[in-house]
Amino acid sequence: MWSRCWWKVLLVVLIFSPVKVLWEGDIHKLARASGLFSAGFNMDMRGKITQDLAVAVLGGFRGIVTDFIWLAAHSNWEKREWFRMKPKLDTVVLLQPHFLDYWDIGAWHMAWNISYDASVNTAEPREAFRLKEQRYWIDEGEKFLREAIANNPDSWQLYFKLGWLLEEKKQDYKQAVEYFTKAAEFKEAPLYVRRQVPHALRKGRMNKEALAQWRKIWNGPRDGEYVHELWDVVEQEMRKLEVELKVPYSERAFPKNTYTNVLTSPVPEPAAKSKPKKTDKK
Amino acid sequence: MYAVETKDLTKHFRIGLKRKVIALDHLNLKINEGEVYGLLGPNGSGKSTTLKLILGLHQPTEGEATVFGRSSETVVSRLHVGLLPENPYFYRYLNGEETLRFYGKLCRVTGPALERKIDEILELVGLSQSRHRRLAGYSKGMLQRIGLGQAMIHDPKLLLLDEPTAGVDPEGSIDIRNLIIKLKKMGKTVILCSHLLSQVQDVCDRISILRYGKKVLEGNVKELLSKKDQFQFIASGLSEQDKRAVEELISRSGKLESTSHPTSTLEDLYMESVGGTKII
Amino acid sequence: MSLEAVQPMQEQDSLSFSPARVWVIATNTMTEVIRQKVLYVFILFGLALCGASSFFTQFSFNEELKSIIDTCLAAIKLLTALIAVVGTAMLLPSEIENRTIYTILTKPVYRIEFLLGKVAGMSLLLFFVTIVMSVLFGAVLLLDEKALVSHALQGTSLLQASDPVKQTINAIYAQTRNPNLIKAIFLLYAQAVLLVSMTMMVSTFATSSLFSIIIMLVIYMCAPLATIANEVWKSQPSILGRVGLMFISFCIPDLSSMTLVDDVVAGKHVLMSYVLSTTGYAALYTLVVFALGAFIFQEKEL
Ligand SMILES: Nc1ncnc2c1ncn2[C@@H]1O[C@H](COP(=O)(O)OP(=O)(O)OP(=O)(O)O)[C@@H](O)[C@H]1O
Ligand SMILES: [Mg+2]
Repeated sequence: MWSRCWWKVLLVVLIFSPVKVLWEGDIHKLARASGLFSAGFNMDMRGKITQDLAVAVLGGFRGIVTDFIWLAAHSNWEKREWFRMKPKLDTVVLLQPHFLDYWDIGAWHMAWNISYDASVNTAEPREAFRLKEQRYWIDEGEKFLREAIANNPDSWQLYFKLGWLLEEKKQDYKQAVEYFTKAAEFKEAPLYVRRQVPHALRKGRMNKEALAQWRKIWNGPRDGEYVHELWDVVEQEMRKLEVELKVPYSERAFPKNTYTNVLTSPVPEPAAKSKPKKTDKK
Repeated sequence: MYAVETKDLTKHFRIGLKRKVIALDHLNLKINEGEVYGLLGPNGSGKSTTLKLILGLHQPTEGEATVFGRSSETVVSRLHVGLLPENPYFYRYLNGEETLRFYGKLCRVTGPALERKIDEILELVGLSQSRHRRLAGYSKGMLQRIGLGQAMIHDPKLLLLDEPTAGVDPEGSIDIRNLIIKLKKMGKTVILCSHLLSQVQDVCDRISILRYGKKVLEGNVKELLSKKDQFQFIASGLSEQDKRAVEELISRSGKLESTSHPTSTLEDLYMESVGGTKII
Repeated sequence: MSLEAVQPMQEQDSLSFSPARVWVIATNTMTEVIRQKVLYVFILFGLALCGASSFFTQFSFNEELKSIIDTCLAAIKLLTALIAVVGTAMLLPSEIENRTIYTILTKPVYRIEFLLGKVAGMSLLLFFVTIVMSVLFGAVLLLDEKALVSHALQGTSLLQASDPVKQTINAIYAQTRNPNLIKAIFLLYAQAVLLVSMTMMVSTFATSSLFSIIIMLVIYMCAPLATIANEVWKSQPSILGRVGLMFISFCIPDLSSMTLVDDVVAGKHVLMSYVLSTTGYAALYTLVVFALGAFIFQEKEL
């Protein structure tokens, strides 16, 4: 059998092999360009999951394996076994680093639930230790989200969540603003994200910058998706800040006693027309 | 043109790394169209191997086989050939009718012609009653019959039958014998491998006997079996006196060898040529 | 006995490749595999579906939908691959065992037609299996979507819904009405067909179906290494090393490129150009492997 066909087989293998290898390279390039398959299998995983699970993961059942580890992490949470839960969360995001909910919910567990639980832990009578513990879990949550961003730099949600954590849990408004701004830069980010920037600025007593942000929003486009902007909130905040900052009347968007109703006030220059002009100047 | 011709057809089978079996050794056959040809020989003498080589299921180690002038290694050579393999099995989940339809379609017999053909063949092989039964429930003889049927579905000019009567009841054997005679009358060529010597003697024009893959005897059955210088008289109701008179008459010009009951003489011939062969 | 009535067939002197014969063998193969009770996989699939949709109901909708999609895609992948490998591995040995192959190949049938019929029959069956599983999957997804949406709306209508609710609903739709799911399933099917062709090739020289199954299992397990093999190949300095690795890599199809489960669940967009390129790759691979199988089968002694 082989004696009569080996040369044909060899010939086909010889011709096809390079085509195969090159084509695969092309596919991988295409995959990388569209962000597919960044979750490979690395040696890190070997230490975290058992051999059987590794085989399952390699065999294409990564999703199911992850689901079940997540399920186990959840039951750890219900039993308040934090130090068992954390490694599971780490494994889950190692296996499927692009499913954002894992990062988001994991970080939320650490920075909010676990840290709160640590702060009211009756088993620890020393307050300093309790606070230290609380701090530790908040930091862990922050680290988790930073890792999330490193893995998924293209999703606004994670920037927003990190900003939120920095604002709420660490009162680090400067950094919070930085991350809200990054989140707001994404086209698909909803409008509340950009409002979060001046809100955080004001909380951090950076009123000037806050006002500047609100003004930017106020003077920005109002058609299309921006129809849904909460214009009255914007106005309220601007008014508050103009008073607080004692902005001269001439420079105020809302001089004393004038009241603009968003719904009836004339719409300023349509944004679509003014935009191209700006780019022309550049 | 011969229906089947083999020239120095040789087949070795490799067993393991070094050893080999010589299943067929420089076999030369010339089978005429319209002939019923018997292939005889002990178990393992290479009959089935010969058929497989003629049908291109095996490749010859040496030599070649042609069917109606075309090399057996080409698919066109199979256009007019039907095979009944030894111990045939078919798709167990098909019934008799479906089996024939499947093979018919494979041979590009289609439509009403195929349906007519199926009816005829089922009638011919005696399976009309069980045409709707699954083959899983067929007995050995029934499988043999449906195997014969599928070999004829495309009305081939040459039929190769490997032990067609194995497992078939006596009446069925007679049916098959009559069928072969009928096929011969229609001008078909039949190659028959069988261990039923009396049947071979009845239907075959020519036979050859194989032994260890070599042809040890070939010839016209009638000629082979009649010893030209010997006569056998069969009589009944002869008185002792007359019998002695006949013996006397014979001794005048010849010599009385023996008086015996008639036997199936192909059996004698067979035993004479291959008796005591060990199966390798 | 009325043999006289039989009409002699038209004399034929040439024989061309016939799709009709391939079709006869393909349909027969499908019947054969179906009679092996292969369709019980739907029960397994249904069980997986029930499990997936009930385990994660306590979680957020995203997690719940993820688990359903994960499970269904994994089940489609596993079941089609299993049927492809095990089903195909049984075909030739059982034909030889039952000697049915003798009766077929001694008819005017090209061996390549026979082999193609087997592969086509298996592929058609898998197509049917994939479609049925996808429909079940889609139905569960839509039912779940309906439940989740009505839960999110809490009695109000979609028009009256507030922006966050609308956003939630859009997020649900993004998971359930994800066109990338169809692309992922399509690629899983392409993978199954490739596996059929490979198994058929292996079984043309393998001596038993168990042997073919083991070889295919090893190939399947090694498939994730294709990416690594490719990388190593590029960094191999010597020509000899490259050629050697190329041969090894020939045996390892890049199946992971056809398994987009993770990426689809993560909401990644699968480019059409990617689907086309991968399909082309799978098709060419299938064809080449089939050709090898045909070469070997052509010379096979039965
Ligand atoms: N596929 C094979 N592999 C190895 N040896 C084989 C093979 N087929 C046949 N043989 C050997 O070739 C020889 C001839 O076998 P073959 O089947 O032709 O005998 P046969 O004349 O048909 O015997 P029987 O009367 O038992 O049917 C035997 O020794 C057999 O063992
Ligand atoms: Mg035999």
